[in-house]
Amino acid sequence: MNLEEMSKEVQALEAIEAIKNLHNEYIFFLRNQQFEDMIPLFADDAVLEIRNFGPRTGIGEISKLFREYIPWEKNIPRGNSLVQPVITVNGNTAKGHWLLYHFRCDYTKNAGDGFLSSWEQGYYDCEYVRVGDKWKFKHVKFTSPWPQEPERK
Amino acid sequence: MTQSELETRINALEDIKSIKSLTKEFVFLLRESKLEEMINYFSDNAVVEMRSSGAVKGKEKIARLLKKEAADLNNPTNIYMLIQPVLTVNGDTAKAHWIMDYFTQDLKNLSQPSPTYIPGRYDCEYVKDNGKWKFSSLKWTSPWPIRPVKQ
Repeated sequence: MNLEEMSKEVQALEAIEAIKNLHNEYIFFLRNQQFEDMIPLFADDAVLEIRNFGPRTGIGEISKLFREYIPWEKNIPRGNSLVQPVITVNGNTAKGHWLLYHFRCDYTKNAGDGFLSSWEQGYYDCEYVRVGDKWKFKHVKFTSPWPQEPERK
Repeated sequence: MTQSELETRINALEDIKSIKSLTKEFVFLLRESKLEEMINYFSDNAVVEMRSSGAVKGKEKIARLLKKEAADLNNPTNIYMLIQPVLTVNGDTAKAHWIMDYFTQDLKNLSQPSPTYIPGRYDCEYVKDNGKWKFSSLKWTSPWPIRPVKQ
């Protein structure tokens, strides 16, 4: 491998680390209900699809979705745990898919921990783009539960 | 990218890998109560705070705290899940936050629907000490985030 090829490999590995940081931080914000902090993680023309809310294009629509989403999300006490990334980088764009586990609780005992009442597995299918020196979300599709039950005949 | 730049950037990637391994291995050792090995993961002036312990500084106090934590956490049905690192390296120091959740249940009362989920986070600082990464600070906040009690 020559110097140019090695440089490209290193840049791709750095991009993978940056994208993991981006998506992990997004879920930290989600877990702590910091919805306003999530918005700058998207590119200006990004598309966001969460469950059955339908696709929202552009920062304005994405912001609106998070503000609509807040009352719904706050009523569901749960942890969100992001695992199993598969990321491929191609220059200034990248693709990734991940699993997200929701742990729903019945918070009737203590303020911070609760009896585990149910869990659900979700799936993130994402495209990322480098904007300046930062990686951002270009397209996020979140499906939950995943896999979806096949249609019965 | 010059040869020298390339080496610097490869070293930074190796640092990220080492720091992730250090933190994961720490949780393995905590689970197995391997206290003598764990204490070597801390720098001499490290500060540690585990849940409601309050902050303690220095290896001797950290060893006492970890012994107590390991005993408290020694329930074979407990599950600890360290995931989701957000890590930045700056030369010979680094910072990270991780999700550190655990699940537990009452072994004396398994017939009851008791599995409990306790969300939490690790906030860590690291320092490279004679070529090895170590914790300079470790704080486990649990539960995190705090949810209001349902009325």
